[in-house]
Amino acid sequence: MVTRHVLIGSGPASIAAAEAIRGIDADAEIRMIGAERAGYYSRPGLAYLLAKEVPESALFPFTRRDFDLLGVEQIHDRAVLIDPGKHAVRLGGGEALVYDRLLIATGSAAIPVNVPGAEMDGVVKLDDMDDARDLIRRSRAARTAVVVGGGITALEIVEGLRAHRVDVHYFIRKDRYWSSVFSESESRIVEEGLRSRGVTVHYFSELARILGRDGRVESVETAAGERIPCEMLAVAIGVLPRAELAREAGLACGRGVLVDTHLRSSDPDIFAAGDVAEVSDAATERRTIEVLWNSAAAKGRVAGHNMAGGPARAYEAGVPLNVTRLAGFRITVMGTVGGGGEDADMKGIARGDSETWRRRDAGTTVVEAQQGEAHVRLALGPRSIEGAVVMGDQSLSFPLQEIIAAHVDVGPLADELRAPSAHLGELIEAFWRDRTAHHA
Amino acid sequence: MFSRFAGECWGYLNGMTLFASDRARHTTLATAWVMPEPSRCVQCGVCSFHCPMEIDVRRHVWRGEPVKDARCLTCGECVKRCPRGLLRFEPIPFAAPVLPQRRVR
Repeated sequence: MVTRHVLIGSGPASIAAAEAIRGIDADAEIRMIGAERAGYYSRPGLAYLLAKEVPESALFPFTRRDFDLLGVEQIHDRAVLIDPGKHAVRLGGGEALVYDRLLIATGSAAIPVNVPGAEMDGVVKLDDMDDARDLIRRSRAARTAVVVGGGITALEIVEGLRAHRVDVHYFIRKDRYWSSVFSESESRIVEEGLRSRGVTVHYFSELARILGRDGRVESVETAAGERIPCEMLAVAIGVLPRAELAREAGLACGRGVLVDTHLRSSDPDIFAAGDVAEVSDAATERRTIEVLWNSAAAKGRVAGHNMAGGPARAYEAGVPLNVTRLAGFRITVMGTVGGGGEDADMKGIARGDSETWRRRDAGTTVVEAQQGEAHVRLALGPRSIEGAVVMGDQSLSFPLQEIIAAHVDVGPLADELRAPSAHLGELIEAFWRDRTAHHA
Repeated sequence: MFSRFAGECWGYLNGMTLFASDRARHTTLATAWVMPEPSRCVQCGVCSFHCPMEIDVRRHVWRGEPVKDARCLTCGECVKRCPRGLLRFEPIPFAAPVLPQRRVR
């Protein structure tokens, strides 16, 4: 009998799951429900589309032929109801799809701003392709925009607007940018980079209300009463997993769909992967959400494998890593780096964000230094490197990625790195050269 | 894997040009290929978009394999353009087959 797989969502988790299923079961029926007309595209690539670095057409990794070769039927519709009893998913168009195994990979959605005037025309976000197109269209006409929020998305919008020559005012609620992940000097590097790109950075600025005429944004007012005329207000205060379908279907949910390390939900035939999956690790009792492209694909692969009945495989969260470009700086964040601050600019989690980064284990010490073209910060355990932030030149980020991911016992290196005025770059490079020479 | 060779090639990227000399470029052409660090890729397609030979570099990255395409000029466009810096030149292991691959369209 042919196994019927239904995948809700058309992002990297679904794609990776489809590939994994097909790798195991050549005959399986795979149907992918995607609410977005654009289908599968690089969501992080929208930043480069906004910045005018690539055309929209470059953002699509898969062609129709690829889907055909993979034997995936794409269905452009919205899933409106999951009926676990009948093993069926109802679509917006009324049709019902029957499944043997179901994957929920519905991603996450921007949290709307909750101030008077939020419903006005000109209040924008950057969730998906339609939002990016809307931002570009509006940028052509707008002179001034205000951006509120934090994390990567807020600055992607800021830079996209600057690429379209829009004057940008960026509001930071407290004294610095992304304080839950970045150290103070890292925040300052980014803020300085923003200013050098012509952005006006406002500190201790909280959006109080949006003012306009005929339903269109004309200005915003801060809690302190300052008024800034603008045609656009962009909001990036975080995202929430899209777990409504699962919740209504009676599946166990926390912030997202609760899954075990096999990515199986409370219903044995329903799996979840990507941003919407809240992975509960029985060993550590930690529940973690990650809104990262590569984590989504990794979860999709595991979920697909288990859906197709491969030998049970567990998702190993590994070390979350993201490389991003903020205010012109390439930045890699990996492992537990905890910036120490409470980020008032964001609610919950943001795109390109991992909750793990905010943690820092007791017993770790932090060293930080500017080394040539790179600014490096390390969270050091007694004999390990637990996390790192590398800004600027990324050469060091590659060995660091491997050292952190493999939990390499670095022995005396940790103490050498802690020594005052230690040259972090040279020490790490020397350590890595020796190690790769011995393992060659 | 990070190697000293990759470190040196990477070093060139920090200068004004990708290759310090024609000799470096020819050496790279003969002995190296473009190797991805797939965990850093978000499939934005900047690499494929800029490839003068229309090689779908992004597809190689998704598969976690080097750009083992006979048409690759090792011009370094993709290496230079990748916004996340995940492409590097790595030495080709001895006797590795370099097969031409058709772009799937």
